[in-house]
Amino acid sequence: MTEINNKIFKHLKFVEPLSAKKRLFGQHRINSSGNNPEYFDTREYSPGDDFRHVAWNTYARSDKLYYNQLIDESNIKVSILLDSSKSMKLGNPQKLLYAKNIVLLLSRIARANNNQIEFYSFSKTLTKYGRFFTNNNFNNIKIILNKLNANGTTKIPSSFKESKKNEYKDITLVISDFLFQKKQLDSLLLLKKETKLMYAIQILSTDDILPDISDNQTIIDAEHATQIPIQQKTIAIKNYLATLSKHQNYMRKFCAKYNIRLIELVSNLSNASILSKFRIGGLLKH
Amino acid sequence: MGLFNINALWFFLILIPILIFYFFRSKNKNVIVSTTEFWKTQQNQTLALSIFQKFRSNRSLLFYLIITTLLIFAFAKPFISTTSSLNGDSIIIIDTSASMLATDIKPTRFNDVIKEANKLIDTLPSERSITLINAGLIPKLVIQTKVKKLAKQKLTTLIPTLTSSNTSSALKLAETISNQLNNPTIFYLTDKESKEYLAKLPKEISYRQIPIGTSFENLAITKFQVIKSKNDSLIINATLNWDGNKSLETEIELMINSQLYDIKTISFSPKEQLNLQWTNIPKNSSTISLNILTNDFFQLDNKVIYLNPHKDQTINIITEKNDFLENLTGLFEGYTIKIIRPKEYTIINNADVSIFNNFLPNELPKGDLLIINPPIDNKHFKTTPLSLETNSIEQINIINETHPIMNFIDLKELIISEFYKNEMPLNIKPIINYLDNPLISAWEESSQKRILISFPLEKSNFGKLTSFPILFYNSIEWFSSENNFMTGNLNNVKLGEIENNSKFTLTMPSNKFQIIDLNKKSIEEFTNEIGIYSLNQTIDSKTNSTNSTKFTINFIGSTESNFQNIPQIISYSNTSTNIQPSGKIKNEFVSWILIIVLIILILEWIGRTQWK
Repeated sequence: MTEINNKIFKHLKFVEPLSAKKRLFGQHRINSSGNNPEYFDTREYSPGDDFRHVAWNTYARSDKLYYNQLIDESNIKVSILLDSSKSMKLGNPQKLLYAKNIVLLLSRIARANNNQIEFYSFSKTLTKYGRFFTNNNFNNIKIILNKLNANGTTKIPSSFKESKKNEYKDITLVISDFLFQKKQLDSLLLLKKETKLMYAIQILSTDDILPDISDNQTIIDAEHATQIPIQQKTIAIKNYLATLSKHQNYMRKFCAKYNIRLIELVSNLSNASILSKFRIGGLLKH
Repeated sequence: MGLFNINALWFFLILIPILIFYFFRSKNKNVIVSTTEFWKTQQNQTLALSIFQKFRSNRSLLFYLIITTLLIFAFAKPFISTTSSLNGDSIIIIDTSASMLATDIKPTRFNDVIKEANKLIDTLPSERSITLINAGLIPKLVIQTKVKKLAKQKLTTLIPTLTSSNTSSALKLAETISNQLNNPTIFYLTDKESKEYLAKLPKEISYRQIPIGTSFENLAITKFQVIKSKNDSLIINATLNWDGNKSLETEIELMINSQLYDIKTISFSPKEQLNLQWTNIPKNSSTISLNILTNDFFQLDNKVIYLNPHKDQTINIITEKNDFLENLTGLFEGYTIKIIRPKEYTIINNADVSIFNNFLPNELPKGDLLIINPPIDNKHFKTTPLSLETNSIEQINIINETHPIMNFIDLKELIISEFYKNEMPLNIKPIINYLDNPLISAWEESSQKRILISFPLEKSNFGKLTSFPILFYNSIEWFSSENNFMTGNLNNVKLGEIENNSKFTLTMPSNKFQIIDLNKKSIEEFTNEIGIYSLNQTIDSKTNSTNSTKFTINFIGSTESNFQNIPQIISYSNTSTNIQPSGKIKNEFVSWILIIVLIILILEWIGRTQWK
């Protein structure tokens, strides 16, 4: 992966879900508007910051200018759900490794913009790793990602069970290869009900797109261990590609229909390309 | 269609490990994929798991099987026997040399030759002349006819001889006959290579060689020599030659006077030649025989018999003071040797052998002669001196290596700075040539043997070489060898006085009895056995008084024992459209198979690159 200049992260932001004032009809109002600002974090003052929010008391104590960051500037909550099933172990580079890199990229953008990150992994069950706030515990997410291994079968969670009623996620990202039966996609719809903006980030490896098989080989399902013998490579690949194409078309139609934004990635894209895809896909903005 | 090299079909066994490898390899390869959901359409295919399906789906296996099969097939050298007819006349040369008695084809190669010749005649065009030539030592025209039946009848009269075939003379005869024929094709049925002679054939003659024989693994005694040593005993030298491709162990027995004298076990490496020597053999031994105790497919060269002449001969050496020659006298035990200076020589000084060095009398003496460097003014040869530009011996060619005087002779280190061109009768065949001029010649004239060395000993290093005394010894042996014949050479039997009414009979080694017609002067066709022959002259039929002369056929010529290669089909014709092979005229199509293999390989390569 190519390294990205840190400055870029400052210029990129998550798209804001519709503000409280512009909420869609029927949606509930969230009690976190800027009317009652609560101080959320203090950081060093940098030129251009609103002079009214300088922490004068702290200045008096330390002779240094600090800035009280308001919660309504960092109130976008980004929930990331990462597929950690066995199928994510495949590919070169590994799809899971690639997905972890995406999570890290998004975390850095969140940190630069004082957004909150909620990180979950899912295979058969949903695991929550908690909230990660800017600066304070950003490094924790790195440690969690390092420890995360691919295991189990894919089951897209149908709810953030720990969520309080009426609490909406701002942005939810589901990162997976989405190579499963169509009915599993229905879970996305349930998740969608608990979030303002929903993104499905599909990561396919080059082997998923064009499998490297030979005549008389047996293919084995990474998650379910089912086996299918292949007789003629050319015919098998032709059929597979047709089925994959059908599946992708269904995904696209499904996502379009239910206002889920689909971003399709191949695990050999560079970081710059990923960010570019995120901007085009409407997840990030300058 | 047939195969020249049927043994190559054993290579088809290679296919077994290839098949095993492919079937086992395909079972062990699994590929893990993200999901098999999208592959389920394949399952319908997997139901058909018959062997045929496996082959069908395994393109690379099929590819390897085809390539391997084609290559093995090419290696087996397939041929097609076509039956199309010739347009013109045919000359069929039949090799009747001793090697045709080889038994690698049962019962003998000669039977195969006759069979092939019959088939060939069957397919030749009617109303076209068929000429049969017997390619023995002296090639003979057997018949020239347009009647196939007659030609076939004549084939049955041919028998293999114990002599060598004279390929160059046979082809020369065929060439001469072909001048009177229309669009002639020469067919040569032989087990010998003839390539070197073909270049001499005129371009307008088409030529086909039909190879006979399947094996060349022959063990032979190729040289044999009995030498009288200084300590009044005999030394036996023999050379054994093994042509096979594998190692061989054999026993060889030496019989003296029909009693076992020695038995040796000898191990041969592939294609090895071994020299053996026995010393202290009793001088009074009458018969000496050497037998190889291995049953190879050619038995004729497994035995040598030698009759010891028991006779002291007189040798005159007529020379000015010459250390080389005078030192030789010690070699010839059992001979009475006299050294005479040229000034003292008169015709009265007769001997069994006369050796003249730098001198020739006006009248040649009776007996055998060894003439070294005859003087320019001699009355017998027109002699011209020639100088060599260099001392190189690269221009020296041994023309007749099998001549008895060349036994154990090595001339690699010979340096000559001067020699003489002697004009001799045309029928004399040289043994060693410098360019095209004979350096050493040997011939027979009026029942006398003669050897001519055309360079002065003083102007060469010959006297210092070990081959020098051997050559002289071989010469004396050859002079006195009327009792020891080798097949492949014409030998004279000295019969002494012949009465007008004498009848001659020949008793062969197998005790067969033949009446000899002396008008023919040749008993070649009856000497098909190696061993001791007895030629009996009945002088007086009333009293039955006989005069018996014994001689041996020692061993067959080395050209017949040389089975190093089975000849290949040779076919050439400048007007190639004229040659329409017929009968078992085998058209090889190895090159076509190889072209097909190449095309398949190219197609496979193109296929692979495109699929990538």
